Amino acid sequence: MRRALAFLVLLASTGIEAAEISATLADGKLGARVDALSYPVTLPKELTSGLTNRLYVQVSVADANTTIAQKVVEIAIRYDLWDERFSVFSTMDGTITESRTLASLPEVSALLAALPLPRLFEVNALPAGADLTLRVEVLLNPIDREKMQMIRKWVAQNNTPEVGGRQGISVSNAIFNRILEQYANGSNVAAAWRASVASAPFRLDSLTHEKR
Amino acid sequence: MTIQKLTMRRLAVAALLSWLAPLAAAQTTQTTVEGPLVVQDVTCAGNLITSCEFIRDHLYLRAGDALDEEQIRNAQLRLSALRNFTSVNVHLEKGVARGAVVVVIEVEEASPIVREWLLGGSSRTDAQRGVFAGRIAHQNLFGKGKIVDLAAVAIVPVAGDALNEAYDVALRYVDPQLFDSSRYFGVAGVRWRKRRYEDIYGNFGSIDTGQFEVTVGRRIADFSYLSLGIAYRPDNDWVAGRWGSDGDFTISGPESFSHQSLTLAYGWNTEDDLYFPTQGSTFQINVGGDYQPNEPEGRSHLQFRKTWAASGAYWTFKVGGDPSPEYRSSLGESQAVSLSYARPVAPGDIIQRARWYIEPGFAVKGYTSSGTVFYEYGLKVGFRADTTAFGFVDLYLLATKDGGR
Repeated sequence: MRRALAFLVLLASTGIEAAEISATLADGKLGARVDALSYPVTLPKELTSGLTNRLYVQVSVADANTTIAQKVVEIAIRYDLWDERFSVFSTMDGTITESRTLASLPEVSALLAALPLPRLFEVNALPAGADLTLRVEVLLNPIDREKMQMIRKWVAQNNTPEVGGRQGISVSNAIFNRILEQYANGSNVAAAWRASVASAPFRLDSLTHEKR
Repeated sequence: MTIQKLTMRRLAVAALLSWLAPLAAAQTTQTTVEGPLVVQDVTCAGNLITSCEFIRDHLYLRAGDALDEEQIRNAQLRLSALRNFTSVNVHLEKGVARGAVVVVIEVEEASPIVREWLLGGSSRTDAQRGVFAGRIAHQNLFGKGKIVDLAAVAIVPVAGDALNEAYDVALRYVDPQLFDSSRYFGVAGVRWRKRRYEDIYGNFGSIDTGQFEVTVGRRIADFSYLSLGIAYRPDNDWVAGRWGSDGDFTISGPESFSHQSLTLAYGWNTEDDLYFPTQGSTFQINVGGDYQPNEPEGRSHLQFRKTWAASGAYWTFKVGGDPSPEYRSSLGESQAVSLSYARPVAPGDIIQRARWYIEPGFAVKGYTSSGTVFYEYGLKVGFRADTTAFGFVDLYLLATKDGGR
């Protein structure tokens, strides 16, 4: 009953996600794959904007009692306007782990639809016989707290209108507000779009090793 | 000029390094190393009433600069914070040569019409009443950011041993940039107010008057302002009787209430939003004047509001109700001193943003016939939303208890 209630609270707080997480095992490391995330409908347009789009992915592994380990993976995608192809870089904790070039938007969409997050946690450091869960939080183009503070200061200072149509500030933009609300809820990073997904409980000995 | 060149050079180097760093680290892959992009031009799309110059001013990049994506994201956030736009997107287009890009800022303009509705029920000092208020404003008159604002408030008695009834209509024209100055603002208005009240101790009052008013203000430093207002009432029908602390009952009438009044106000405003503040404070102190009836209960001469976020909620401490800083005006009913606990509500198709709140408070109302202080304490619960269909909506219930009984 308590689990069902917790699940309902989770759904209410993150929006209903049809996404699923599968645990993966490769090179003695636990990883994850996130399938069917409901990205914002504007994502294809953003991906071909010529600007770098960043997915900030926070992955944590937990047993029944506590979070055992946590990793941050960042996936940067940039479209080259002339070559009309996408460069995709994955970094984990600040180190580049993978880079690839994709020829078309469908290829990028396919990659994001089954988002690979391989080799995150050393299996040896995880309890072998315990029920584990993976929780993944994905943010698109995150804004860190420091930058948000800078923007908020700018907003407050620009409460004073200037000549030429600046009408004074009222943060009426829904996207901006969503970001502010996330900071108010204690997040260290926030984004206009974010999604949280948790896996079903699994055991390490139930996973099969993937080939590279 | 030298500084500008240095800044440009620094930007170019920073952009080059930031772009090359990950590529250098990934040189074993098939990714080709490219040079930095250079801004050929900055253009706008989707702006019908807003000038492109105004939009471009928020992006600190010019033609010839190295493309700095950080600056573009910052500009997008700054523009998103303006009430002028409902959405802001930026994309690049190919320029005349490889490596040269046109930065396109695409906006969706918001309607300049603002609507605000308030529907409340309150039981205060032995009087139960319904409170109805509405405001409709055009915030970009002549395409120059001038404001015209029509607001009406009605307090309708429903039941109770005491009486509190009020009707107020106000029409205001606001120039936030008086004489094209970013420092001065001006407000001209006309209002009519009718109010009757009588509490169970015998304090009473009635007013029925029209009023013309003009206010000129000056902004000081980043957040403060000073304003001077004059009000003129050609026909002044007003009488009030109140118990004093010495047990004497004083009746005052129009002869003690002049046809003109001057109000000097000083205040500051560091809040990021008037309706849904997430941080900052407002303060205003008025000297002179008599009443400022934007609120159902009439406005206090001292007003302070501070908001902060903690434990997933917004906390707001208020003295003197909701603020109307500078030329802005807000509708609301609060107790004199209150602490509000508000939680955000998830936005959807109809609700763009919303909060529900609980607000315990306290107010001194006057004196009883025996000269003792007459005060109330109570609780307000409400829901405030910014909706796509109706604009701002505030629904609340407020109940107070006479502290002396």
